[in-house]
Amino acid sequence: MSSVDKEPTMPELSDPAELLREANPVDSFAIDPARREQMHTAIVNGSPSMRGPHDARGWQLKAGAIAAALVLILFGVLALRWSGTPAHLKTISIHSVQSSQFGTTPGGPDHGGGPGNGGVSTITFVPGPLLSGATSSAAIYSFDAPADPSTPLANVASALGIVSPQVVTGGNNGCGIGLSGATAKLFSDCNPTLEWIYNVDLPSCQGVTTNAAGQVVSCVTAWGFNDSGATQAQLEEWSSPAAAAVTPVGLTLGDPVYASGLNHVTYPCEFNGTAIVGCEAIFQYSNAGKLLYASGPLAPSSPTEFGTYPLTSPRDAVAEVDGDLFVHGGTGSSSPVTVTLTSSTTVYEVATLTDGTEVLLPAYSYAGGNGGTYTAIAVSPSLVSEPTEPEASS
Amino acid sequence: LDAEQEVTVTSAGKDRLRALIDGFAPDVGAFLRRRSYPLQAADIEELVQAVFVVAWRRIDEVPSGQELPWLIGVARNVLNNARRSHSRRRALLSRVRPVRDEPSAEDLVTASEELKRTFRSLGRSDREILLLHFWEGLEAPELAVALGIRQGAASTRLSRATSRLRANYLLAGQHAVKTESERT
Repeated sequence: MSSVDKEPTMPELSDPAELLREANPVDSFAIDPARREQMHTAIVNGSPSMRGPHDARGWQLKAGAIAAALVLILFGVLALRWSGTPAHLKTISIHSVQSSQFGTTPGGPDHGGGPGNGGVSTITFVPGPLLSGATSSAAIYSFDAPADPSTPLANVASALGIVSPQVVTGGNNGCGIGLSGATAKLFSDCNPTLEWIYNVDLPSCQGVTTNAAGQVVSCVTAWGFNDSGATQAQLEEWSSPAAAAVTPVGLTLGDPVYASGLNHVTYPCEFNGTAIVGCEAIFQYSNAGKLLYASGPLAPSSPTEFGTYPLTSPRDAVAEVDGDLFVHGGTGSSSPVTVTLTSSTTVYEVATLTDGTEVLLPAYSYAGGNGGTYTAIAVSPSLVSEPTEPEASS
Repeated sequence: LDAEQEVTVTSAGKDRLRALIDGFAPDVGAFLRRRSYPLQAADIEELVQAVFVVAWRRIDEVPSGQELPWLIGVARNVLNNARRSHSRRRALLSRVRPVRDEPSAEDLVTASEELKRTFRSLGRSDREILLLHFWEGLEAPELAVALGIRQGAASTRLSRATSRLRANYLLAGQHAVKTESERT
């Protein structure tokens, strides 16, 4: 094996950030010089798609590419007409989908087995008998972040009881702004959609710190996030008015989910009654009901219908379910894990298109027979393309 | 550009590509292996090559001094695309077989149960920026290049994600202790 993998070890540290650093499973990956040379040769002398922008035959390639594009467009139009798909619909050229970086819903269960018992390379998803085979259509909506987030942010600050909020210049990320009150701060974030984050002023040390001798030790001062005794009824009583007050125009909040022992409650966002993956309002309290942390969405400005697109059926979209190359635990078996997807609900994924447009993209959220949750884009695959190019840095 | 200049530029581009491959292919391979554990080395090398195909197409856009984070940004998309693309997925999966019983990257993270719970309780963007920082060693300027965001945003997101990691870790530990004491 050409990589240098580490045995799992448990360092004598209590700082989870250092534990995470120490858990890095691969120190290095060696590629021998002959393979690197082969790679270079294959790329510069390979197929036309591998040729660089300065190739001496660039004009020939450009001409060829234009001709190929025209043929593809013609073929695509004919294929769409032949298949009955509306020919006027633009292909959804996705740059990134908010929830696509990891295969499963955060906090989802393992795919069987326990720690140190992994080793399964693939997950095969199969449709359960109750998944519908019916196709449908749904609207895609595009939206913009508010041009000036200060007004909706001020509304949130007021709803959360921030006293005498003062605008902090330009925020600290170029597109957001901050409001600093007497005991708490509220600031907006920009990625991938505009959201607000509320924090009370905390001690500078958050949980653990490094002392002069370089040892990781617990903070001497009491720390804000360590309460866990609130009941569900209390969390509901405290969070309901706050949730109602911060719900942005155009969105609604769904039923709350309570995290046992964490004094933490989450409300999913909905648009037109459909849940938006990754969009939620979160509230975390002390045992006495003091709001310690919260975050939620700012209102998207004027969602507009991008078009009504054909959706593949929940049964067929199983082929699009993500999550096969990432392994989360395992059974110790050498054969792939099969997960049966038993039911589906239609949701929206927040996606950024290659032209920068943010859209709400119809998707299916599946319940797996193993207790996991998985998503797949529901728009007909013939109308979706995904690039491999990186986004330009600002 | 006349023909002579084009040849010169092409030659320079090829030299730069060679330097990029020699200098950064192992790091890109390590990143891909961490994220796609336990793919075999040959499959990783194929993905590495796909990354440098993009670099070759955009050789003039690879920022000097920030080559690795730029390449990691490409590698993230190559991997995402491989995971989502039908044909690529099938081609990959037809060869992807475990070579031995190995724990996944996240299982190794989970040498501590509390850390496992904590890591999975974080949002996707938090997990991504934490792994890029603590595993790839990227600092805010490099994170900005890899993620295509501004440096200030990268710094804020990293700070916030680290705070949440620590906060949730402590809560997970306290909850476990409380649950255990209630049992006994």
